[in-house]
Amino acid sequence: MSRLNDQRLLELLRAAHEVNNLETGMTDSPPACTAKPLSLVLRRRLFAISALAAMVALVVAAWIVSVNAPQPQPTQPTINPRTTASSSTTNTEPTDEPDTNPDTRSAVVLAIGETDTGELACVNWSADVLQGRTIHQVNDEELKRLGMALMCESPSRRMIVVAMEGPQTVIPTTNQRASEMARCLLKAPACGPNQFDQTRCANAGCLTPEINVRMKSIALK
Amino acid sequence: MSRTEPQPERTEPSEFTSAFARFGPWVRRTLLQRVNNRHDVADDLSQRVWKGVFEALRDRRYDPSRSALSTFIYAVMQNVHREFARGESRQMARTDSAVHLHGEPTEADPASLMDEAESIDRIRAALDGRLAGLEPTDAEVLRLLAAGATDRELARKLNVSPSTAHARKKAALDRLRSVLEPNPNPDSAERHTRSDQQP
Repeated sequence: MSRLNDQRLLELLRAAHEVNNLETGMTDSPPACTAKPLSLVLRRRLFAISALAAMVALVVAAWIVSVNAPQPQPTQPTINPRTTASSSTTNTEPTDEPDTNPDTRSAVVLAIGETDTGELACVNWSADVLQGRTIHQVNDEELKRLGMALMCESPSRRMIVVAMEGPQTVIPTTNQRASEMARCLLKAPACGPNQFDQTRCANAGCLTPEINVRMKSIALK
Repeated sequence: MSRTEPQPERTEPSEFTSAFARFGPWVRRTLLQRVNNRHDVADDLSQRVWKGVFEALRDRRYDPSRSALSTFIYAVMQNVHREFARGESRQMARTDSAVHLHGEPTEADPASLMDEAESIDRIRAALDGRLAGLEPTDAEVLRLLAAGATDRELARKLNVSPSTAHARKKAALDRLRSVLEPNPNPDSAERHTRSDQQP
């Protein structure tokens, strides 16, 4: 990177912001110029309707409380926090789904083992191994070391190490998504043992465009 | 103006078509805003962007390890728009003479596009806190600056005086610069010469 003055840094910061919009704002419909006046009117109407609905709900709730209250003093309504609480439940079920905030980006390293027949032998992944660095800061030797450290013990003829970073919504941070991606990569001809090519393998349709990726194919037999 | 999108080639069909499907509307919309809602110009520029992306994929000038494809597409779009703006200002300067030099834009240097995309991705990493060396307060200031905040807006959002906001901005930019331009290390040159895909 050449000399970065403040002006250039500000340009890059704005560009980074716009790329985030590019990745997260794909579903915007019409251009902002036509959307603005419409959404303003719509917002005002929605606000008025919701305010009215809230008032009605409050009156109805107060009436129900006063009718059903067990206390014999209807002139002194008691406020029970439980009645005003919504039916929120705590989800105690363990989930291995990642944070789905599309703005959050993370980095993951996958070590994919391939059997002698070209099938998926195993896949291990780790989200912590880069320790606050980006994949730009990891050289080939280190990528290889990271892969070897993650490699599972199933007999494999080859390992593909994939270091990737991108939005958490598209990075494989569950076992299921990691295996799906691994199978897809092993099926792609450009990722094959004889014609492995990082650029073509990355463009084989298994990774989404928001991800930047480094790959290495390591023969084990 | 005909709207002939480049046909995907054998080598990168899925990547190009999926990128076009996902980012095409955003690219066109952004360009439309930048050219003051001139639809024909936005269509033309949009075609140039996708032609550039397609050629970069086909000729393997895009390196996925250096930036995400979305960032690269953005860099191509920036370049196309920059060239267009230059051409327009040149044309305005020469309206008196009858010479019109508003032909095909100059071809962008592929390496510089890749550098631009890489720089943007590194800034994104810094904003996300994935590059060591930045304080959380710096990242907050940088995020506000990235969203286009002026010194005065910065002061209001950080609840400090404008002079303090300006000082924090300078400090955050200095730290970002030091994170992005660290002391030379032997690994930094390595990624540009990486060619050993095979063991």
